[in-house]
Amino acid sequence: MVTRSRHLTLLALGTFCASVAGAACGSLEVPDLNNPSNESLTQTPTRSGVLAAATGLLVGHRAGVSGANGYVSMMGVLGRESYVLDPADPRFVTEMLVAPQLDPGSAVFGGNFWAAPYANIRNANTLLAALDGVAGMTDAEREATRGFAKTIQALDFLVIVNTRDTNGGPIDVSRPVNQTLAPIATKDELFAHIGQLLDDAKTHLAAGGATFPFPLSSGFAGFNTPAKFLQVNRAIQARVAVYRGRFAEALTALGESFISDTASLNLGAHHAFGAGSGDVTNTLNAPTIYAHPSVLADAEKKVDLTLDNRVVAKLKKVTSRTVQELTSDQGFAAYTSTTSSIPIIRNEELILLRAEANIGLGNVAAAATDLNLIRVQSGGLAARGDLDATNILDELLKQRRYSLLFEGGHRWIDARRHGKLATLPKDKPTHTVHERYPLPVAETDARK
Amino acid sequence: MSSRRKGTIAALSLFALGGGWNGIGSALAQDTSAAPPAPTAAPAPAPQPAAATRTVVGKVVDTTSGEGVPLARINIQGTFTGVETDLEGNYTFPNLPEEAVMLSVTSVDHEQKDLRLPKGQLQLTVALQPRFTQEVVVVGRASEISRKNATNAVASVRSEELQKAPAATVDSALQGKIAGANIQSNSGAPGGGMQLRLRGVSTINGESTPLYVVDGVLMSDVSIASGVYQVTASTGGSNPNPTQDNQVNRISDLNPNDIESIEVLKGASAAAIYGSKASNGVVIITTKRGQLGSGPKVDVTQRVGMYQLSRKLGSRTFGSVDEAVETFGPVAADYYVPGKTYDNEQALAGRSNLSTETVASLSGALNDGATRYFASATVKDDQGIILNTGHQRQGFRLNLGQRFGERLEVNVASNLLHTKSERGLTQNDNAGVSYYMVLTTTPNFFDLRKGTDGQYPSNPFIGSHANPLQTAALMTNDEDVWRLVGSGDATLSLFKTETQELKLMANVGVDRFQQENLLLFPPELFFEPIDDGLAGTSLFGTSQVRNVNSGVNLVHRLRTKGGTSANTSIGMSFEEREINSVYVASRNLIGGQGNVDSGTQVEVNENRSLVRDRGYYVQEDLILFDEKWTVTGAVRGEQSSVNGNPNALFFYPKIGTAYRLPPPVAAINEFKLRAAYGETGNLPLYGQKFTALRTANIEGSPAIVARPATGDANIRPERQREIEAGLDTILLDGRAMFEVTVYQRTISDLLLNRSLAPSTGYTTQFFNGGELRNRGIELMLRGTPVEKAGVKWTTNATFALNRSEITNLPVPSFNTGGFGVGLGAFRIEKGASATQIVGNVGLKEDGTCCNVAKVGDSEPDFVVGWNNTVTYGDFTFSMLLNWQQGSSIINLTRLLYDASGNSPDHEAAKQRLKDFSTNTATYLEDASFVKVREISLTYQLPQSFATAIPGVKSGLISVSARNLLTFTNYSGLDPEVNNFGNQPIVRNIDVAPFPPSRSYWTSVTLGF
Repeated sequence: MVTRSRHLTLLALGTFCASVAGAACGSLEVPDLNNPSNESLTQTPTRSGVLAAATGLLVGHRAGVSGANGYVSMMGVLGRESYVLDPADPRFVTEMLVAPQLDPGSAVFGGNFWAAPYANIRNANTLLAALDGVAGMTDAEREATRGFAKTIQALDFLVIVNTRDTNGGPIDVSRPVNQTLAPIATKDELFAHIGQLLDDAKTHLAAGGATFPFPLSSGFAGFNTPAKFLQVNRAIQARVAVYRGRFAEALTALGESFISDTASLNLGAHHAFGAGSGDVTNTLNAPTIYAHPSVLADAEKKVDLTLDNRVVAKLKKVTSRTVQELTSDQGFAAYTSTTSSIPIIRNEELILLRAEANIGLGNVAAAATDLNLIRVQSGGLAARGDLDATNILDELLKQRRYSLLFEGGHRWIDARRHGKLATLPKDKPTHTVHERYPLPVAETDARK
Repeated sequence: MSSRRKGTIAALSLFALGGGWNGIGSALAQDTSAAPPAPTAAPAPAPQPAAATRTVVGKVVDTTSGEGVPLARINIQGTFTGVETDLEGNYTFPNLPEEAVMLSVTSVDHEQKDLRLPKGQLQLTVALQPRFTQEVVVVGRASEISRKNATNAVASVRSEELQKAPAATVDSALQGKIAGANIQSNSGAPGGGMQLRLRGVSTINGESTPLYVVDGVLMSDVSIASGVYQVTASTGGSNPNPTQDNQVNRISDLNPNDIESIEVLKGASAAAIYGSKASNGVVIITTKRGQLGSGPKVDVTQRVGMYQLSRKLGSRTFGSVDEAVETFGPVAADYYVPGKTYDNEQALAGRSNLSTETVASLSGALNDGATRYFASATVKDDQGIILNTGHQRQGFRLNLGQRFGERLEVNVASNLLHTKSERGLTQNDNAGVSYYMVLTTTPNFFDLRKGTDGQYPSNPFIGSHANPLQTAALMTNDEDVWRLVGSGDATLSLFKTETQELKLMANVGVDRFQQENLLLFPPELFFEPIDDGLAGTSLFGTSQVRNVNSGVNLVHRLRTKGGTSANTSIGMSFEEREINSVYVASRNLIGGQGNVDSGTQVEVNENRSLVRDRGYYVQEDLILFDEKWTVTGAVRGEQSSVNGNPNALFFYPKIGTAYRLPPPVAAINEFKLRAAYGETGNLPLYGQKFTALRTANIEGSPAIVARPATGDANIRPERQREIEAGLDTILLDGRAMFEVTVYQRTISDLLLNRSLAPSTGYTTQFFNGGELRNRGIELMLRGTPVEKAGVKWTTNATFALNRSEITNLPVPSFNTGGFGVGLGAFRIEKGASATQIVGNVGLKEDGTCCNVAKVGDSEPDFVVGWNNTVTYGDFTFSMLLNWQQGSSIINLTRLLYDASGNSPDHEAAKQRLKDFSTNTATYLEDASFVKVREISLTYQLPQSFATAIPGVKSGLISVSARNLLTFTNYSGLDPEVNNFGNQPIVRNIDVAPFPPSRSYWTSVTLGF
């Protein structure tokens, strides 16, 4: 009997094991425990999901802007506004300054600023598609959201043009991943597309009611209703028009923007950063980022022989550092904290755009007025009375250089736009001023 | 009667058949054939002893496994009169004379034993020492087979071989000992971080670690990031995953001292029965059990040793202050003193503190082997070569086996482990804080050591001002793991006759651990306020890991006396693996307090995974023709929650055969040809089937964005098809043994993470496709060249080479891992090696950057392990060499030194840096090395010495060293390196690693 009861025990054990297996087997359908599904936005969009996706465009557009290898810093290096002297990665010097060409195979150097903007272009397209199908949104809310999405998308395409220039980039993207890739459009086609997006957005925003249904960041303080956001849209259109040499259009767009001779020069739209969990901080105050010595050397002095206010405000003296035989003892003071905002577009640039448009249209006097406004208001410098057609472009570029210093690669882009890359100071004769970014290898490989 | 030897419940010693009809036990074969039909060990009542005779009953058992030895022969010495044991090793020997008699016990797989049966004794249990060839190997979830019949090359390593020179982790103890296993450390950090790769790369994006089965428990070898990337910003570049955290693969928790044996099934042809988790091979670990016939046995080992920095890089010596200023700027003039230099590497990593390990074990068997027990306790404290680094382990194990009568046997094993590793701050970082990263730009005229005021100097030669000595003194990077591994199995004999038996086996195993990572960077650190403007960082990571597996098997075995046996098993298994990791980063610590609620900026991340698998299998093992011919076949069906269709069944078949040819010449004792084919899978990783969105926020407003990777809703396991063939011979009465194996494995339906055109909005996409092929050869030679006059020299060499090729790729070539083409990238390309490294090789014709071509390969040309042991009297000397020929390393540490103008060979460095801007190969180096892995000298105390201590029965003293010498042309710290931890493809990238060390040990073992 003892044996028998042991057998029973074992049978019970066996059954138990089997049932452990059975019970613990549970379901083989295990969902994604970490992320919301793509289908929740593409197949069954909800109002809250769509609104979060709209706010998400600000997150997507902010990606890759800050940081030592972000847009502001890297464009600054190319335009000889800044150095990144990082003993942990020599490529900030070897590739960005020394090498004869940018390397399309290095994802965070020559291959940068491509994936992030195109990811956000897809985000916007996904949102636009979801807006058509989502329930629980009014027509005005949909229109406001469309206008916002297309404006941000235009900004993302502008990153492509600014970095790739004549290398171009595809427009008709966001196709299913296994479809034929959209052809590479030219720079002109990209600009035309950006202009069209901004104009479409204008129409949407005009029908967008009084408020956005989703929250914008503090970077859009003062511009967070469809009507006010439209002024940002027009400001961007003005920048694009100037880049395209369409000066009359630029002046029209500026007239509909928030340009103001009396408002703060800093009025405008910004990338906002946050220290909260899941947010992104601004790391442009990294200790590896230095100002190029020419910024200080070329700065004008005020009447009292002190430095241009902009230089005083944006630079700070730091311990001298030498890496790969490049030396700087100036850091940037522009971004004081990890939550400092980075300008997307602001009043000071608009005034300078108006000056540039006027120069383009031959209105030297109007341009001079604006440039002197900037000299006095922003730099604390004396107004120049000697500006004429021969020197006003140089003055424009100089004022743009100091007004927009280290906030989005303006100097490099401006020098290229005006065929003046050769004027950028090379630290050594063997160094290179790169003209434009190549298409990343991931893109060209996929097209082979 | 399940054998617990292999740890699977499943283990059966059925095929460890005695026999003696052929082969090397031929002496007996004659006896048997000449003898009259031997009385069988019938359970029928033995006849009453006649006058002057007696009937003796008993059992013949294996000393190692404690199992009964079937078909052993017990003869009256010098006669053919005798009996044979039954399947369980039991025998009944009637009609023995009453007088004392000499018996001779023989079995083909055991050493012969002669012994005296005293007058009047009616019971006799005989323990036989197994011969080498008797070793059994696991061939399935519920079966094992004698090595002599095995259809695959199975590498096994036994306890003694693991113990010669103390190793901190199981994988390091295996280095150089298994043909076809390339085992390399990722850095010199204490506490582990090793990659074990069997027969080349087997996947590009799937799981790359082998399956570890410890006493039937699927023990997790997962590597979980510490979270230090939140300080080093290593994820800030092109590698967003925290793989650069110097991760520890968790099999390192296992105490090598508890291990009885390790068996390695290298590929699909052997491991198919483990299905979709076996494509990287299976490492089957059996822990120690009590041995029959040894009463309570107590062993205590005390080890004392130390670790020592084994290699340094050196840095530039500046000839003048101008040189120094030119390189480092004006600040250099403040510190430069002609002729005065400091060895900052030695100051950082020159510690050699005492390390200790104490191991105690208790084992034995009770009630004639019905109860067997093994208990062990271990306390280990390794002191690392850098201040505040080290590795501590405390473990307790209890293994119990109980037989209930003839039919039921239950085993339980439990293992409680605590490991704590202090890992320091090393490897790639973008914040200028990790030890060697700082040293690359710190000139040797600057003294990092504490000044007379007791303060470390701030380092003016790096923007972060980090001083590695201060960092090491003040920071904490502790990885604390509490782990409980438990297993239980039960075997019930349902039905049994003379020739057949049907058994039900059930098992359950649980592996549960918690990994806590506590990292504290106090505000006093020079870099703390500088790196992010926030003083002090506290990181707390905790991962809860749970692995459960269970199975039910039904095994039928049939054996005839003609040397034919058949073993049929069917079963099902279930596995569940869950990981939940939460990381909290707290910055700007108020008053330096380390609690994560003390910071003003707190960030939380959580990452979960949950996988459930079900498997069903059937297996048949046949041994035919007097044990000459083995045929084995199996098929396993599997479902898994990670597949696109979780209910889809994937089948993994295997078939193998081996034939023991009659030895062609007398010098050859055994000559076996074998061939096997099998298929395994490799499951998609959790999440690869999902195309998901990412939650984010901007100033607290909820946001959703796309993730850069797209999944594949139809994703399915990779499929590995492996065919291997080999020849095993035993020569010169076992004094030499030679094995050769060739294999080809093709892995199709690869889990690819191809690069998409980023303009699609996605950067990568998971999908199945392409094919990868590995071909290789493995040789094993074991011999005893000298055995005379008290001297025994045994030598054991392994050789392996493997070549891989991407034979099919349905998408354009793509790069996987590394820091971009300019610094060397691994490129998956049709027709090329799977581990090729490509880089820039000059500008293109149109002047743009750059022509890209292969510049190296991380696959070694070949790997050799060579162990020699010489025993003279009570002394044993042993040395293990490990030779790797070929393989390329991307030496980015050298690039960093060069770029800082701080390399010892400065002029050459300038040229390298110049070449590098368009030529990646500049920083590729040959990783060939020869290492003296283990060297030891042991002395077995003479019995009279040992027993002089009361209670002591035996004593052993040894001195040993691990990684004593390295011979290499590699200019970096260690040719075994990987900044990215354990990766399927990416390896051999050297970025400011933890420096390597050698260790010296003295051990005393006493047996009570």
